[in-house]
Amino acid sequence: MNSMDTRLRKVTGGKVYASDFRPRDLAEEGWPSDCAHALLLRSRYVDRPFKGLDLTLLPADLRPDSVVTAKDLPQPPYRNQVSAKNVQALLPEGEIADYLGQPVAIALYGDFVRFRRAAQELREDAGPVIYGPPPAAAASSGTDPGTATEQQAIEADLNEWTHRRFTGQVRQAHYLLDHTESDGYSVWNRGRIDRFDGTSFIRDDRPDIEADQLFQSIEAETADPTGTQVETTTFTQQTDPAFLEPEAGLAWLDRTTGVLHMLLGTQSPNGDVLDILALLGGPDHPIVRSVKLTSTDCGGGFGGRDKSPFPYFLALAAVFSTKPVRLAYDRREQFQGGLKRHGSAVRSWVRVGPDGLLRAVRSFIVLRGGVEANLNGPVLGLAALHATGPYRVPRASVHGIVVERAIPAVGSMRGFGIPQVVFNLETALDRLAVTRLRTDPIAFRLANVLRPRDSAHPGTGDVDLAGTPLRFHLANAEICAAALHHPLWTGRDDARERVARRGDGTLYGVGFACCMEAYGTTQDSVYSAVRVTEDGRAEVWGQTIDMGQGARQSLEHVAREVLGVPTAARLGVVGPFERFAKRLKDLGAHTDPAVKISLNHGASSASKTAFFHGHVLREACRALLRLRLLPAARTLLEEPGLSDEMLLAAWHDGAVRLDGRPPIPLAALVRELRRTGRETYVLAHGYFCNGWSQATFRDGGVEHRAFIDALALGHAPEDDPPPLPPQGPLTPPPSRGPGGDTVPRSLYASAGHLIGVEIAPRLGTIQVVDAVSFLDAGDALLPSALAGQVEGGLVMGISHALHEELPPETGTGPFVNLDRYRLARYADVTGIRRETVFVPLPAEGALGAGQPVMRHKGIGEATMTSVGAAVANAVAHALGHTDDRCWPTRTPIRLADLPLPTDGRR
Amino acid sequence: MQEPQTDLDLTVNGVRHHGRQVPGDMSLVHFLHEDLGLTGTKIGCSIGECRACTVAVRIRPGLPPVTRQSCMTSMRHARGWEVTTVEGLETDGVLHPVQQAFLDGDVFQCGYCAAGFAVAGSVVAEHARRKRDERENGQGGQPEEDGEGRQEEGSQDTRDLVDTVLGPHVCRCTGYERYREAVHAVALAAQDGHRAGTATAERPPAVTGTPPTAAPPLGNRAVSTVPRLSAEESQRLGYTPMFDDPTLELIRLLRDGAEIEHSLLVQYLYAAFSVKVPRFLQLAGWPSHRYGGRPLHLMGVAIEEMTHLDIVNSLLVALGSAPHLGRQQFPYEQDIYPFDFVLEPLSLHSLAKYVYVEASPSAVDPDQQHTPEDRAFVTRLYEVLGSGPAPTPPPNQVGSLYRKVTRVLELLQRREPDRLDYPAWFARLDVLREEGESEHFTLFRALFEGTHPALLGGTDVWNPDSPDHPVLPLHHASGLPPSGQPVPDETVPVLRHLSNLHYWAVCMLLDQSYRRRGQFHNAARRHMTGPLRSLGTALAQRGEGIPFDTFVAGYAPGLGDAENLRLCQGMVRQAAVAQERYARHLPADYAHTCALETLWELSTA
Repeated sequence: MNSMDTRLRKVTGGKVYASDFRPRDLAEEGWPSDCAHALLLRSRYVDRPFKGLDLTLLPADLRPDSVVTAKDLPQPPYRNQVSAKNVQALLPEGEIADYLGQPVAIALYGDFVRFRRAAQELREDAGPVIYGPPPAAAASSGTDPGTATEQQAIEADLNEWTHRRFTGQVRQAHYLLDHTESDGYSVWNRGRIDRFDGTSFIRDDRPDIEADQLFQSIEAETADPTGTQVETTTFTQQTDPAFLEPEAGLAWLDRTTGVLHMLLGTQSPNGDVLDILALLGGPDHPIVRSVKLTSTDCGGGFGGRDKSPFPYFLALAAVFSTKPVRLAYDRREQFQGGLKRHGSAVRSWVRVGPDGLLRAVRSFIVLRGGVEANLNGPVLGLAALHATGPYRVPRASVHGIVVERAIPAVGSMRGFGIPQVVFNLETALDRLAVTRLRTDPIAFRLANVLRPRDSAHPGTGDVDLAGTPLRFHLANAEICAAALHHPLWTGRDDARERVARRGDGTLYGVGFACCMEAYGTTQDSVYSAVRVTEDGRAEVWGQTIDMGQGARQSLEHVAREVLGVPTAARLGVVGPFERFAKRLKDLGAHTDPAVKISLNHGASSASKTAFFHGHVLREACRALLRLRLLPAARTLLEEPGLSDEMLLAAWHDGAVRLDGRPPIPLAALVRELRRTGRETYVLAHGYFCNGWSQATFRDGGVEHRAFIDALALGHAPEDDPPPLPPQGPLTPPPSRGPGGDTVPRSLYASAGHLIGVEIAPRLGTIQVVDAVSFLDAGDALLPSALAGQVEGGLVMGISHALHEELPPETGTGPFVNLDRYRLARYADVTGIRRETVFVPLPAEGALGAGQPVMRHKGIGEATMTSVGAAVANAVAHALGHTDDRCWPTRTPIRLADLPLPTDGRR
Repeated sequence: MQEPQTDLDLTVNGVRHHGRQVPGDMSLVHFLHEDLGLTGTKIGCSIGECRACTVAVRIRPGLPPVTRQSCMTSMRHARGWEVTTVEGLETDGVLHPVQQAFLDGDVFQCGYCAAGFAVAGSVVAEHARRKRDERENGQGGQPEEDGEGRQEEGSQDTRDLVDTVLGPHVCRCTGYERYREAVHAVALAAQDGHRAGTATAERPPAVTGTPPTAAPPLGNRAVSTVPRLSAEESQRLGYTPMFDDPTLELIRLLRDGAEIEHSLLVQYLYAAFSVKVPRFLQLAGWPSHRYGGRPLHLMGVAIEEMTHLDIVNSLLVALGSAPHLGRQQFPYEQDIYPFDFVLEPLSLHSLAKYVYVEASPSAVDPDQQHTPEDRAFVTRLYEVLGSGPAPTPPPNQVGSLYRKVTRVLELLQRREPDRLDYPAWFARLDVLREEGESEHFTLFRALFEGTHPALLGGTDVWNPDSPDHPVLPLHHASGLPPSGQPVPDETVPVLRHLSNLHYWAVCMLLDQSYRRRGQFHNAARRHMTGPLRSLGTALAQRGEGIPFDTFVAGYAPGLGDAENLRLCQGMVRQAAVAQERYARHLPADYAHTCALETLWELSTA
């Protein structure tokens, strides 16, 4: 099924998503047609022990056929944990829950009608889940997370953290930068700071006096009242990814083979399989031998399906069910148990010199996390790395912390911590420019943006907050320049006047914000495979998944660009790549300390397809052409002397088309390969960390140098083909600085938004009416899909800025739904006057000399990141920039918090 | 309690499914998924908010289709409907123009909401086509030759129609504009008559359901044919009816019943909003949107009262009577019950009343208690009620009323055995009585005694000074502005006023709906779970209750059906006007699209 078929199914009601499938749909794969239904019973309290289940409280006909509890998970073989060590999958009797909503049991029902009736009752009132009384101390000390409001709690945390006080085990991230001299302090030059221990920064297990001194020096500088600076404290709310398809899946343990079959829409198929095997005890499990995961398209993801706990419970249900089982959250359970985006509190001091250039930024970040069962650490790290934005900041001191709480996991939602810090910095800079410097806020940004290394003038480039030299393309300056001259910006005051003259009290304003957002992960290890078939088509196997970002179409497009034939992509593939990784590990070339190329399997995020997966697939297709298809063409043409260059030049639309010769289509080449027993399938691994890895392969006299580090030729994924031995050593990318640590990030995409808002005090509304997205996306792989992402990212940003707010009881029960969590609906956001400005890439592409020419960047998240801050700055402009209070300091932005100039204030 | 099975009679994508029973509380979308295997209709929220589950419905053949949320439609309400799902939009293998436009325009990303948008888009296209047909048949509208201005106006109408029907839809991936443009283009094409391909938006089902015969109107039986009540009949009834004509007696009793159910519904809703949240949400239950099963919290009971009101009004309509949505202004006179009924926050005293009114006579008869616990419970109950050891006047529980109704209905059955589907009505009345006397009683008794799980761990919960007291002392006041004066431009009066408008709109919609085979049940429900819930929450946060004033004009003040429909539209329009006038006072989760959508739906009737 290719992307055309999938899209057709999506508009005709065919089966696409995990929630569409029932076991009877999988009969061809051997599934029995019966279906059991599973329901999670969850703890409602974190202040009193769970005492067990009393199912007699249920009407007799609604009692489950069987129940799985922690008692059913003896250790070994089971390891009753979800990814983090301190969080149990199922809460044992007698214990207090690790977090609100922690499952205590899985109830299994043999038929749907009973299941649904029981689910309806149990979802509303888990009366059969019995608790003991709260311990006296807990009852009076207010450990119930609902006691203090979210706002009060995070303000208190921020105040403590700003004074570098914290309690308990917390995750920290620190960046201290002194770029006033070439060997100044930075992660690049010195290595990573592990933590602050209450007295000193600790690096390599030792107090780092230099870091302490730099911290104090910047602290003193920003405490000096004589300079020009702003102090800014902002808050962003916790949000739900709110992908429209609640998590759902099917699983069946085939007891004859020990294969646990799962059908699931997940962003982390590989990680899920590994985690499930660990939960079940790996090879020690008495029945389960392996997990066979079938990935489906997701009805939205946005990070909320990246290492979600859902697959654990589906797997457990199946292991204890005699027949295939379906687990499908309803929306209330999704709100209760699904991953969320961190709420944040950020306090910054931004200081500028008399020349209008930034001198120093000092920033404290508090992210409000949940129980540590997801990606708190990486999200915090990325938030901290982006705290100085796309700006040249000579001295910076940035300190982040994640406060873990006993609520469901807060994870890696789209933006990955960056929108939270961008909201702070971009409103701060706007206010600094307008109220302190009295200058154009975009011109001020333009004077301060980071610029990449100029290939004509080596050594001229800037560094990011980690001190990493910016080797690759950045369009910060181009984006600010384009916004500065955009009519929406230049005409903003006139437009404000025009709307004011309407006389109905409506206020209009325009704001700008920008960002540069890292795409990919710290170390991107990517596998891809392609096969050509006798009917002249190509099949692609990819690790990424499609959650609406167009991954399937993109990969098919890449293969089609190189091979010129219709392609169908299979995504979320688990199996062949893992076996290949095992072979590579056994060979040892990648893990050699001198090389250190990661062979891990990453998750799917919206910003990775075009750049990472697209590249490795392209290399796989090229290798297949050079090592197999072109040699076959020479044979069929009976022209052994034809060079690769001539043949490649003649390769159009899936055939060799030499002048005066009949075209030789791919199908004929495949038949020839088959006839001679040669391979039609190629599997490749590539690695990016501050550049792509490289290697040379030789086969049949052809020497093939490519920006990948492993290659295998075979007939089919099941063949488990051995890697081709590389010629000479693998060439790893330059991933480490003098400090010895791997660079946090090296790839950034720039983006910005100009937003026009209308504030109607009479109606109590703030409405976005104009929006220009500025994007450094490179060439669009699929222009329509990219434009769709730009529109969708804008609306999600607006929704976060103006609409979404989780009710306080989220997590305590299945109480929240889309009626009270209002995300932007059609009626809220249609009719915006919209435009997109794409900043073109230079001829050498995103990476420059010594690297492959990459024409695409990852912008799935950058489309959204700066929207909230731009809305806030537009609000400030609409309010007349009369004083500091015009800049909203919290999202969702509410009129009640703002100084309206008329008596229309609530 | 578990709903009885309901007779299946549903036409889905042209195929009629009938001749068997399905659970009455099963939602339409689950029936589509699990029974028919049609999984194209998506579930996003299960409460009718996100519109992923939208299907097109004709509740009677020939009516124009409207959008319905299949997740919030139970099978007992879907009898006789014609439903089109996304799987049924194609005709002879050709995509519906909306589907084609969605593909051509790359309008969706993950696509999970696409099915709902496609069906809603097909409904828009169908309405646009009907408009053209009306125009061509000279039934109003102006010919296109009228010039550009007229065309633009038509285009704006179409734009408004698209925005109204799609307005509440949720998509998390896209910016919505592509959906908007695609549906608009298809609607314009349908309206102007150049439709892409051969696909048609409307297709008559292969077999159409036969609408049940209407009840014979009242008054077509001569007085002389009404036999007098015999002594034996009177004995069987167990009480002396006011009328010899069982129809008249039934109408009297049922209108009484409707009023009681309505009053209880309003009181329980009021009490639900008085519960402290989030700590006692489990007791309030107001995020609940359920369709069956036993009630586990105040909202669950209120919802069941709603279904009771439904049964009573449906029986009234089946008897040829008008539905009855009226009720007295609180407080009720003491001669009906041994105590006042008022809108009040939950308290031990109000719980005692609820326990009493929902009880079967034996459950609160001091002489029929056999265990020390039961005896203590009954003693305490009367203590709290302050009415001495046993109530005077004698108990007047709701269940007793329905016992009478059942017996009069039996009398009617003997007299006119072919008039109604008696077994079905007896079953529904049994459900109604059973739910009250067993389930509501059990719940209220558990609350009264403090054993409900939501009260777990608390001490002295009904003492207002206890930290574990689950109730906010809501203040009740009328939402009616002083005569001739505007609603004060302050948040609380505005919230009260708008709550009244939505409450009255709900009553009028229900009145219309009972007369039209449930046509506006969804709409009424939307107003309750949307704006009214949001307003009630916002009022409660300010220590105020929903006023639930009665509307002096009643809920069907018109001369006839058409007039009543127009008056209902007028009420909804008033809510739309007021929500704009007072927008800045409205809570963030107020559903602005609700009234507009209802107006559209009313316009299709």
